[in-house]
Amino acid sequence: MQTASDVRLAAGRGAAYWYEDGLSEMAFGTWQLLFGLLLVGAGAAPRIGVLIEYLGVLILGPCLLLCRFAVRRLKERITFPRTGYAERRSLPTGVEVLIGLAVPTLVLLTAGAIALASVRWPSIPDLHSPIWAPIFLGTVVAIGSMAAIAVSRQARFAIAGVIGALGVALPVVGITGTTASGMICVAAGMATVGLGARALRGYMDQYPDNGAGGS
Amino acid sequence: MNDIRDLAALDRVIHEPARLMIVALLSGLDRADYLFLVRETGLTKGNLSAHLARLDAAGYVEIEKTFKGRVPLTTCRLSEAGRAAFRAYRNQLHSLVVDRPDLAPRGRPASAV
Repeated sequence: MQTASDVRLAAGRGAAYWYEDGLSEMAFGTWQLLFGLLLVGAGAAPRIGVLIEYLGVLILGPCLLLCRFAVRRLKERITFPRTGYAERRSLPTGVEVLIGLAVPTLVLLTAGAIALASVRWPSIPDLHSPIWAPIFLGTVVAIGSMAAIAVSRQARFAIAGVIGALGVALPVVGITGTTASGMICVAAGMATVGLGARALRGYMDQYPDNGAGGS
Repeated sequence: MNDIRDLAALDRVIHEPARLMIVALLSGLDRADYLFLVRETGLTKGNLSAHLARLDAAGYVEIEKTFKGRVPLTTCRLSEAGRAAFRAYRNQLHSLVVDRPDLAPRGRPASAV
């Protein structure tokens, strides 16, 4: 234990523990799936696509915070009684407030800019679905997966990363814009939910509830 | 750490292997309960309590005893002093490993020591 690498590993164990049961993946994967379906829907209805997208983002954005709450409640029922309670180190309150304010502000500003541009520039639906949209989203999904592997030490996150990387190639086969972005999110979300459910099942098999709960 | 005698300056409260495990685990967490620490460290509850008491006496951990419903829940967290002490310990250990590769056992990379 008294080795530099062991100490480093132990220090990162808390973050890894949070992802061991697959609950976070299931919650985030569901959110990703819904977001992907929203984008696919927006791509299928070009006339009201922008409206669907931005209303959806406004609704689904806060749902990401609800996911966190739901995961915590599920952990209290499933994970903590089995393998113990461990709370990840949270960001300082000031940083959380800043992120909480910055995200909706950014979304609203973008939505406002698009709405404004739509009035002055009728062809905006074509512009907001450029060829680089799936490239951008695929890259975000792939990089996000790499970050998730680093934090959680769970190699299964690589599947979503591979999907993201493959999604970057969608424009090559002629699928572009919002639809392609949605397809990447749907595929990555389905994979994430499936792998999370598999991890949860494995976790519950490995640690059957002994009903003790306290410590 | 340039002198081998600086090894003696390592914080002995943290340097003990069981306590080092506990402090290293808690350093990446906000708080954890006994069940988690017992499972992760492999220590018995009695042994864990003894080491936590030592860390508590040094001011490195804060132990909170609460109830969740009717079930007792004891949680521990690393205090600010504990985090600072662990940071200092890691720095000392790092400088020993990185700055003195001659101290590494033969056939093993210095970073694995």
